[in-house]
Amino acid sequence: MKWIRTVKYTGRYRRSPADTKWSPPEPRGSALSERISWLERQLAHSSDIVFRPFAAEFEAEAGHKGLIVYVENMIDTSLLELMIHNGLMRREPSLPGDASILAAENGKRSALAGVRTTTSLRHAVLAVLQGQLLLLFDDQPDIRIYPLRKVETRAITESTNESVIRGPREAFVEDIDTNLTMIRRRIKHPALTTEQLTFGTYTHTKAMLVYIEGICKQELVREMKKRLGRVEIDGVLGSSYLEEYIEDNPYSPFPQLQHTERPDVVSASLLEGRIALFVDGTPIPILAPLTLPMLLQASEDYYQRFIAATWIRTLRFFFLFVTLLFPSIYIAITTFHPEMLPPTLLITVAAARETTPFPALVEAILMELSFEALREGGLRIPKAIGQTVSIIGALIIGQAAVQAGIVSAPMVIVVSMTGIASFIIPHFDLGLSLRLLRFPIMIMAGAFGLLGVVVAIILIYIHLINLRSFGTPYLSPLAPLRPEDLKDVLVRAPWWKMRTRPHLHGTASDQREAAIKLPQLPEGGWDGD
Amino acid sequence: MAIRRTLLRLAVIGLMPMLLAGCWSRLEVNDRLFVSVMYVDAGADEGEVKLTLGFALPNRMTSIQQGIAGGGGNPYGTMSNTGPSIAVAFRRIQANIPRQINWGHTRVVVIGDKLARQGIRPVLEFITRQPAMQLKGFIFIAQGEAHRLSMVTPIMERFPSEILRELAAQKSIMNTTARDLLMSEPFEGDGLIGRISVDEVRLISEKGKKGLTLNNIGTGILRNEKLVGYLSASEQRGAMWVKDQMENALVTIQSPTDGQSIDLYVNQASTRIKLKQEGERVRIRISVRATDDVYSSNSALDFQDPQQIRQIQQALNEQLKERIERALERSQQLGADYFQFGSYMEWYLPSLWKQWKMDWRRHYEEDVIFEVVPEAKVARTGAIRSSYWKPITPEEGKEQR
Repeated sequence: MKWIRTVKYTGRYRRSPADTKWSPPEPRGSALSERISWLERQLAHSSDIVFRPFAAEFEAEAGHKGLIVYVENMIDTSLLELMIHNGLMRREPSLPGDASILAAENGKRSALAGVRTTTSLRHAVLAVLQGQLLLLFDDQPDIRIYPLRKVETRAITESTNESVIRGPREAFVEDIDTNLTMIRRRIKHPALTTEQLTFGTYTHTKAMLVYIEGICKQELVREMKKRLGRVEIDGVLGSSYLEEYIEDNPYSPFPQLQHTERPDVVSASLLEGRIALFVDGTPIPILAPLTLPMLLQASEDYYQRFIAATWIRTLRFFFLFVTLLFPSIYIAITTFHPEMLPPTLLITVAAARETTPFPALVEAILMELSFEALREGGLRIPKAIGQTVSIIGALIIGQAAVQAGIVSAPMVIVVSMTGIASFIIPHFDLGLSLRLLRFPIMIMAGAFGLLGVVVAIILIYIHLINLRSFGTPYLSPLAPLRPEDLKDVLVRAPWWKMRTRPHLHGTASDQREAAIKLPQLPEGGWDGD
Repeated sequence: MAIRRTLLRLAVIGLMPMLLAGCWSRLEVNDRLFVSVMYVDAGADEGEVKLTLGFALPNRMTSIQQGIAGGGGNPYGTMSNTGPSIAVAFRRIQANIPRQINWGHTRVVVIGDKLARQGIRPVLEFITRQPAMQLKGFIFIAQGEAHRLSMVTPIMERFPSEILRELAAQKSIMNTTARDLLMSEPFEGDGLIGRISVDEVRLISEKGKKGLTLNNIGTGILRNEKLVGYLSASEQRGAMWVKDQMENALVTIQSPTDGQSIDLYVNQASTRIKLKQEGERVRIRISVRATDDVYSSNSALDFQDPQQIRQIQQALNEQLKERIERALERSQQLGADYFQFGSYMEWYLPSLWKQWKMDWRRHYEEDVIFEVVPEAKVARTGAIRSSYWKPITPEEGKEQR
C-alpha cells in the first residue's frame, strides 16, 4: 500500500506568502508624486487603467494637484463627467484648505452616495480593480473611492434548468448584487442576514452568506464560516469551487449541498433554517444542509395542489429505484433467475435475445454507456445542430441495433426506461450520481444475480446512513425517523398542515404557522341562499 | 490519504470475489431450455419410464424476430428418452441437447394411464426435488399414452401445454396441482386428477387437415397414489362441488311445471364442510351454496312469480344433491378418501382422528354418513323476466291483452 502515499505535500506545492495575499509595501507619506509612482508600478502595465492627474481650479485651491484612477469601461462615464464638471472644476469660493473639496464633494452629490475613504493604497487598488473610481489629492492621506462601477450584466431571465408551470419564473443571474436583491424582495425582515466574504487570491471573488437569524441555527453558520475560512485558492470562478471544499464527504457519489437557480427555492430554504452561499459570477448559489428527500422535492410541488404534488412525489420515489436498479434487476433475473418471469414474458424475452451475440451484462453496459454518451453529447453539442444527436440516438442505437440483432429489444426498453427515470429526479446532481452507481450494481448483478443487487443496495444504504451534510443525517427524516417531518417526504402535506419547520439541528422544531380553521360554508348558507 | 487507502482496500476486496465467483449459475436466457410440460409414461419394459419434455422454441417465434428466424415449423418441440427412472431419462435427454434444461416454467405434468396405475410416487418425488419446479404446476392423467398430448394442434394458444394450463386455470377441468397431491400424502395419498384424452378431428383452422384436440373426459381416482378408477364427467361435477372448485357450471333441470328444460348457469358457488360426531359415527355435512343465472328456458314457467322461482330452486337443489351424493358414494365404495375428509377429521375431531387414523379407510367406508345441504338461488333471470314467447294459456292471455 506504500505507493499510494508517495505524493506528499512537499515545498513544491506549498504556496508562498506572496501567493496567498497580495501585499506589496506601501509608500509612507502622502506626497502625490510618490503615491502616483507606486500606483503606476502596481497598475500601469495594464493599458485599460486610466490615470488622470489634474489640478483643481478653485480660486483658493488653484494648482492643487489631484489624481483620478479608474478602469476604462468599468465605470459610468456620465457620472464621472458630472462629478468632474460639478465638483472638481466649479469655480466658486470655498473654504480654504483640503477640507473644502471634501465638503463640496460629500455634501451635495446625492448621485455619488456611497463614497468611501481609505488611507490604504492597497485597498484602493483593489477597489479600482472592482470598477470603482479613486480620487486622491496631494498631501491628503484620505483616498476617496467612488462607486461608479457600471458593468454589463445579463438581464434576469426565466429559469431554464428548474422550470415550473405555476411558480415564479425568474432565475438568478451572474451578478451577486442583483441576486441578493431578489432574496431581499421576497424576505423583508431585518433578521435576513448577509455576511460578505472574499475568496481567491487573484479573483477576489465576493461571496455572501445568507441566512435568517433566529431560524437558522447558529452552529450551522459557525460551521459554515469555519469551513469556508480554510479555503485558500488562486481563484473562485463558481460556487462549485467552494462546494468541494466544504462537503462533509468529498468522496461520496451523492451531492451534499444543493444548487438552485431559483430565488424562490433559496427563500423557501432560508425560511426552513438553511443557509445559502452566493458567489459572485455564478447564477447558482449553494444551499446547506441537504438531505436525500430534499433532492426529490421539486419547486413545482409547492405550487401545485397538494394532492397532485403528492402523487408526483410518490412517482419520483418509485423512479428513483427504477433508475438505480432496473438494468441490474433485468440482468439478474434473465441470467440467474428466469423462473421469476411469467412464462409468456420469458418466452418473449428469450425470443428477442435469441440472436444477440453478447451476454446480457455486456449488452446492458454497452447500451448504458452509449446512452450516457448520447446524453452528454446532446448537452455539449451546439444548439443549432442539436437535432443530429436525437436522430443518431434514435436511429442508430434504437432501431438499427435491434434490427441488426446486435442488441435485443427488451434491453433497449430497459435502458430508455432507466434514462427517462433518471430525468424524473428533479435535481440533476442526484440523477447523475444514481446513473453512476448503476454501473457497479450492474456488474454485481451480472456476477452474483439478485444476491449481488441486494448486497449493492445494502452497501449504498450503509453509506447513506453514514453520510451527513453539515451535521444533518443525509436520510433524515427517514433515518433517524422523525414522524413529524414526514409531511414533506413521500407526501407533500397541504400548507395548512405544515405547522412546524423542518428539523435540521438540535431537538426542537418551531412552529411556522398558526393553526387555522379551514374555510367552511357559514351556518345557514351565504346571503341569498 | 486514509480515505484513499480505505477506498483501495474496498476496491480490492470487492474485485477479488468477482474473480473467484466465476458466475456459477449465470446462464443467458438463450442458453437455457424452458420446459413447459412434462409427459411421463410407463416404458415398454417393466420398470422403465419414458419421459417426454415439451418446450417452447423462442428462436422460431417469427413474429418477434422478423426475417431472422427461419419460417415454417412449430414454435415448440419435444425431446424424449427412456430410462429406469425419471432422473435417468432426464439426464439422457440433457446429454443430447445443447441447452441447459430449466424446470422453472414447468406448469403442466401429464402422466400416462399405465404409469398412473403403477403409482405416481416417482413423479411427485422428482418434482419435489427440483428446486425450480413449481408446486403449483398442474397434474393430469392422459388416456393412453401421455406424450400423444404433445402432438395436439394448439389452435388458440401458442403451445399445446398452454391449452391444459389455461383449462385448469379456468377451472373447466379438475385442476389438481402437485401441491394438492403432496398434501394428500398423510391421508393415504388419495386424490383426484383431471383426465384428458386426445381425439382426431378435422380442423378448419388448419385448412381442413386432420389434427388432434384435447378432450376433458372426467377424473382419475387415486388411491394410495395409484390410479384405481375413474369418475365420469357428471360425477366429476359432483366432486368439484365438494372440492369447492365449481365455477362456470351449466346445470339443466326439468321445469317443475311443464317438464321442459331450463338451463341455469352457476355464477357463484361455495361449499362448506362441517363434521359432527354422532356416537360411533361421524356425520359430514356438506352445505353447497350456489347463485344461478337463467341461461335459457324452454318452459312456460313465469319467472316473475316467486312461487315458481322457488320451485326451480327446489328442482335445482335436488339435482345438485343427487350429483354430489353420487360422487361421495363412489368415494366410499372405493374406500378412497379423495376429498381428504381425513384432514377435516384431524382439524375438527382431533381425538377421534387419533383413534381412527390407523384404520381410516375402514372407518371412512363404514362410519361416515354424508349429508348434503344444497342451497341454490336463482339470482338473475336474464334480460327479460319471462319468456318472450308468451305461453298460450287462455286465462293469462285474456288478462294481459
